[in-house]
Amino acid sequence: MRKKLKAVLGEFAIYLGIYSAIVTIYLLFILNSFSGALNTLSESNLIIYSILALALILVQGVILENVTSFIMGRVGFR
Amino acid sequence: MGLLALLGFAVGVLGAFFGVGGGFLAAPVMYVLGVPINYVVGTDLTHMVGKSVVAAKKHRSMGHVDIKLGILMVLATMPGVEVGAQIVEFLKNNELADLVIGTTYIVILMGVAIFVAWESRRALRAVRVEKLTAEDALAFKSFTRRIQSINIPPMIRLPESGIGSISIWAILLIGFFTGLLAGMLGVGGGFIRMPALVYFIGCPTHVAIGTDLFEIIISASYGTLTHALKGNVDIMIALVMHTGAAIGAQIGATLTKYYSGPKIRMYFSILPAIGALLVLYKLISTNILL
Repeated sequence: MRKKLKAVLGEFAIYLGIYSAIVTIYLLFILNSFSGALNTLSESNLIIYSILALALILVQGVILENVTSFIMGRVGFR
Repeated sequence: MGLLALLGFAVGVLGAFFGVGGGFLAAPVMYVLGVPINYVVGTDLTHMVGKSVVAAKKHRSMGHVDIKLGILMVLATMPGVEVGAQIVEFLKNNELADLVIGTTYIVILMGVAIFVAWESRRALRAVRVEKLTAEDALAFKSFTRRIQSINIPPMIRLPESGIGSISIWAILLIGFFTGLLAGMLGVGGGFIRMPALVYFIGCPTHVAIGTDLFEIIISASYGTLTHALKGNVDIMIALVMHTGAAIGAQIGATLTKYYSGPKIRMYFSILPAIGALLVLYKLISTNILL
């Protein structure tokens, strides 16, 4: 039982490590590449800015988790 | 940037564990950290969307989201929020808004906190003494049964919540009422909705948490779009907060696996009490009360 719990916790820790790295890389990429463009957009076109704001958050919320699960699967975890 | 990510992390853990948005904590701290006041609400809602997606996905993988119930609740919550906002406008015109809303907020949240604390302690005692399973332990079951026995068609089955039959009107009425309070008090509503799902509808605590997070995705997305169109969203701040919140939400949602419903409810009761004390402090420090 304890061995099983240890394995589950270990797997979750690896998952969390990969996920944390991916969300941080995503954040840094957006900050470095698009902050200027997004700033300009927030002053010139609020409709596109609103849609983009929601899309960027949803990508961070949905797709990055799928990427993490994919990587976990590739390295042999469920 | 680090502090905002840390705040996101804390709100992420709490939100995913208790099924709330966490605006009661995030908004004042964001303001203290120097986020301009006009960006606080919109940006907080934006990060809430991402965090709730992460947490709801995790809860769904554990079978803790009742999508049918969530959609019905959202349908009724939205008009409730609008009516609540209209009441606030009426009170503002009569210069009573701060006092009436503040006092209502304190009374309702303290009431929720005391009731949930009392009920969860009784439920935990029932688990110990009557050897009930933690899932079955609800000290307020007679009231829930009475709501479930209201026989006004159309009736609906909610197998994911373990509910054989309940009137759609009961769900819509509860959704409307929680929306009304949320709109009136200017909060997301998780404080009120999560206990309402447990005590009024009869959802198991874990399903109530997941379903509430599912609802927050829809309502916070709507809020994000409306605030962003008014220029009240800073997406960079939201992304920084969400980086911490996404990691926190993974931890918070996973932790629910290791706690029983009554235990989660007992810990939950602290949150509305904190929210009420924060508002009480604000009312006293601005001389609105006393």
